[in-house]
Amino acid sequence: MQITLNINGQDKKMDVEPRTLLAHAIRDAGLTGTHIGCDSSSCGVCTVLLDGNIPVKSCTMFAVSAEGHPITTVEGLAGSNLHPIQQAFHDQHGLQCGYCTPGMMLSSVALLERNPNPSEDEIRFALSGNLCRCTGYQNIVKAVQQAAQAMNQPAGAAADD
Amino acid sequence: MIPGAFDYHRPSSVEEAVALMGQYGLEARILAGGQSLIPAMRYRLAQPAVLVDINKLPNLAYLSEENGMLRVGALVRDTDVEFHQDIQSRYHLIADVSQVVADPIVRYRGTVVGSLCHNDPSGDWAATAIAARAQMVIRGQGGERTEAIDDFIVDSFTTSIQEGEMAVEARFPVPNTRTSGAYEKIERKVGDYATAAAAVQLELAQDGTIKEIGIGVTAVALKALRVAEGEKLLRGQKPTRDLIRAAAEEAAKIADPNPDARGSKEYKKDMARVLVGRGLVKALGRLGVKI
Amino acid sequence: MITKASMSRRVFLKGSAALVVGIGLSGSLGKAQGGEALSRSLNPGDLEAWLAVLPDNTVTVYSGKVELGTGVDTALRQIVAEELYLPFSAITLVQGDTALTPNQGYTAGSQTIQVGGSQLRKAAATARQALLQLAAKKLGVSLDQLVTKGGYISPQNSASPRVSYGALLGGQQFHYAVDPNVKLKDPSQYTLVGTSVPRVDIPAKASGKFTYVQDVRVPGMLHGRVIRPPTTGATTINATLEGVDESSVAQIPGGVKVVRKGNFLGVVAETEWAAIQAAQQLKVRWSVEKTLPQMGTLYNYLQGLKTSDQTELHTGDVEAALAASPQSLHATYQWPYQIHDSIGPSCAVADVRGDQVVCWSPTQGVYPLRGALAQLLGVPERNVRVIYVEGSGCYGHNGADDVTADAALLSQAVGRPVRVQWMRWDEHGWAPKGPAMVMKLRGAIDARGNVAAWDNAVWTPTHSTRPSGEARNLLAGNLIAQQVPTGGPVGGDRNAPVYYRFANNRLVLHWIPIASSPLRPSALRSLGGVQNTFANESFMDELAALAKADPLQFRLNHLDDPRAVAVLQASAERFGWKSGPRKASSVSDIAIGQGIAFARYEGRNAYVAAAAEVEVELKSGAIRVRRIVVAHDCGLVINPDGLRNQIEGNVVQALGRTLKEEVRFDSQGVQSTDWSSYPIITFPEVPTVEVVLIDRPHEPAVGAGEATTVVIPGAIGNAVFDATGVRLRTVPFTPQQFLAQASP
Repeated sequence: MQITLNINGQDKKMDVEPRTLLAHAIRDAGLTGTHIGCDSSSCGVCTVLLDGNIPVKSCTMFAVSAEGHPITTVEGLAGSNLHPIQQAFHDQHGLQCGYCTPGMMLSSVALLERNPNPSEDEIRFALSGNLCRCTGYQNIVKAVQQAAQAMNQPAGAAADD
Repeated sequence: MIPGAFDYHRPSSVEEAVALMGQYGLEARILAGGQSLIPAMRYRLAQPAVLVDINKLPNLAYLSEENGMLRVGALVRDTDVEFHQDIQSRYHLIADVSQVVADPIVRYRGTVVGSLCHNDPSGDWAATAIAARAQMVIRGQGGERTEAIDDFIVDSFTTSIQEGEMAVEARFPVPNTRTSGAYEKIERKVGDYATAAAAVQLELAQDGTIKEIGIGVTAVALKALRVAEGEKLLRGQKPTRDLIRAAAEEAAKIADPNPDARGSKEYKKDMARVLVGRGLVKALGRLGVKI
Repeated sequence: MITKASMSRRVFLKGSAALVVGIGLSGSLGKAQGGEALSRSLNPGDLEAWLAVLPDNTVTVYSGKVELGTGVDTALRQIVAEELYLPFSAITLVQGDTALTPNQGYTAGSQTIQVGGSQLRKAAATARQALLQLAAKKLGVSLDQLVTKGGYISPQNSASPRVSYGALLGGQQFHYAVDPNVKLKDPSQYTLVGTSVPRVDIPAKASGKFTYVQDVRVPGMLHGRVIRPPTTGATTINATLEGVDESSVAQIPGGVKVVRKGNFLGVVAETEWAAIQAAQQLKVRWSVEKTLPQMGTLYNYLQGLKTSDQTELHTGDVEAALAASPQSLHATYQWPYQIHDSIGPSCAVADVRGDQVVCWSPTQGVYPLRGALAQLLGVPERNVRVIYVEGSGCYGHNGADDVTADAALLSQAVGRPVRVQWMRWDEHGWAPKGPAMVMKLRGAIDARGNVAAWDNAVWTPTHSTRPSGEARNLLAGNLIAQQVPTGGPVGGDRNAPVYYRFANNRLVLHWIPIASSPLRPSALRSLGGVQNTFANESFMDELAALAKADPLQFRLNHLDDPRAVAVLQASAERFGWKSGPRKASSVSDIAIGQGIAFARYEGRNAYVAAAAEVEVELKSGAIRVRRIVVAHDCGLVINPDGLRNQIEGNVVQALGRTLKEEVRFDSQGVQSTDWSSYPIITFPEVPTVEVVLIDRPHEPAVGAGEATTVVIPGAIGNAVFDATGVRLRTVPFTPQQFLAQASP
């Protein structure tokens, strides 16, 4: 069936079966930053944001159900500069192989939207559905903390330092 | 893995959804959050020929108190409960369970009612609903009926919902200030099915005796169980360590788990006992009663 | 020689994240591919094999060692930039390509910095000497008058113009031999090595633009999936393909083709979606023999096998010392099969046209894989080009080589490029397993409380069935030829010899034949190092308890290497180690304890000690690790941040392996085929990890990719014992096992 998905602000028309999983539809649209890890809804690397701030495992949603809900993938996080969470993953060395990173970052963005000052325990709790095997769990926590700080600074404050 | 093929319907009203369920009968399944159904379809444990996607239905995402009941609409996501401050502070049992269902991402999409309807024998909401003495509201073409949770839960993956019906709401009694509860769960990792879990809710009378009590256990039998004998031992009594121990023993007695990678039959039975005991102590502690 | 046709397939990035690989015959290679690749020697003795200086004064480094997610891409650039007095940004690194890089074997065994880094360091130092000689000639001054800075050479104390490296070479290759005795830069002069240069790969990985092998696309490419027999993961596959009903997939749109070669079966289709459907729906009949042992009897089974026995060491007289000692002990330790479990499933793309083969693979060894592929496909080795593309993490011999073989066989059958991505169950089920092992120890304490005798017997298969030029070592080759993999005894002895000094010490290895290992064994992070160190460090603790000694002091009493003593003391100090023998635990629901473990990796590389604090929920048996302090000495530190990251990753992964991981199987095959049936560690379970780095700039840099792994299980087990008096001798330390041991 014909559907239109809005991914990172762009409407994409596609022809899918009802059973086509959102993760496959996104990757087939050329956005390979959304990874596939487990085929069984358990790893979280395919996490994308729905409606701006709702993280979902795109392998556990049918593409057709995502119609009418803007989708943000990792490619849509950055504007002209890296998103603070991306900068923080870089600065804090929050990854090794990096395969789980897009899902980690998008889950983190949802957390920070809801809770701008999470404690370490709250960060660990919020990311507990995302697996990392390499495993950079420690630095991921530090990266989320850095991003929280950066996002809480009033605009322009960084430039004044 | 990918699911089998199906016909997809996206009704715009409950009436339309119910009509579709009547039209396709056993071939059809409701798609709400899909967080249990889609994995089951990917493993081909479920192969519905028709999916009725209710996500676009209006007015099913309500979460409100009315006539002494918390009404949870069929599109209330687990996170709606988890992030709801008033529920978190007043509904101790529900607050506990809302933080351990599946994993945090799954909870953004998964629904309370959907989980109860899926009725996985290791699910968290069924034992919770048993302990809290919840009710289910079911809509059919002939109208609406309300069913006690004990009647609703029939068997593994089987509820009392009939062909041509859908559940539209779960109802939990509003707890008073002398009511508390707890949910205790052992899982190998976040997002795993419970190795065993126990839900407890109790109300103390003014004299410190237990006025009302519900105890449910999950993942230790073909369906979530009410530990009725344990409830009986405690009802009307002042809680003591010995009574709690005896009530917890009742959970082990009725547990009949399958051995698997999560543990042997004996281990799981023992954990049913440990977790019921822990839940009772925690719930009492929340009411200021030290055991 | 590489033929011109296979050499000229050009790889370039085309805007999006997907690596689109164009196939043309233009003959010119991009800068990143080395301008003069066609005429360049790949002989490791030749400088041009390693380095090229380009006219713009940048340097292209050709590394046979590859980035597996550990940061060596950055670290190797640091090393070269340092020796060449260049800014870090002037270095480009080309990794793992049989057409472009020298043969450095496998990227494995924590050898990349240790060996690969050392080779590149010498090459870079030789290059600088060569450049100095060219400059001396050009500027007409003697060598000792020249200074090097930022890619330029100029005469000291003179206003003469400086000359750039690029200008000196004028686009030519170096025609020098690498000088193995070249004078290296004095570490005290280092400005880059030893600093935490940010990793070059992270920006792309954090923005979703990085090209993983899963993202490689080739024009005209098809998608494949494989269908395996039900004897999942067995070494001896014991299944025969009886029949395939091709009509069962005929209705799937997308031009599905079924490919069969012996017991190898796959499908190819225009889209990935169609290939997945076809693999799932294809009706197949297998005849199967169920030959695996009962899982519950695995460890007895391993000890009952006919093995090849070898006394690896025997000093003194162990039997006499055991007989003469007043106090002795024996204990058996057991370790299960474990899985690599990278988060992304293995993937590769292959393009086989006639007898020309190009593969894009996440392999750890492009050259050893090349040989095996040539044999499998029946083409000359020189016609096969294997190009490394990073996958989703790598902790040893995983499915990378196998999936490349799958793609190559399917491509050969259909004559078009084919991409194969394994499904999660292929990955969990069929990738080689870290082997199960049994370690039986006996020991005795003398009257002064020292170890009088130490006797260790180890049952292990080899820990390496890597491709090594053998088709049968590829899963597809095994299926087609019905031959189990081959390989010499490797890795089962790693860290089996203790680093402590004992007068009477014996180690006997019982090597299990590959065919007898129920599941297909190969290299998983640290090989046998983690199993052996778990046994040794647990048993050391048992002996300390027998001697009523403090476990830390007991270890120190048996060490004579100051670097060993230093890591133990450093970890204990930072941890706040409480001295003394174990005291009776208090009776409460939660018990807390401390444990320590030490090893020198492989007996000759990094020194590492870990101290752990755990809490045990006595009623449920749940073990929670609260804190781990690692002290680590791997000689010269190249990139402290990268090193800490490696150590932390080791700690957390080893924690999961200790507490949770075990491959389950029945008489037919592996049953742990996803993360529900094979749980790994998650965020909330990760303890606080503190790392003490002991930098020794004048000691050689040795590997850090695995060393920390080996001490973690012992430290945890020892802490559980300290907390509860319960000794856990079988991994994983599940709550159920704890309760069973606590009330036998």
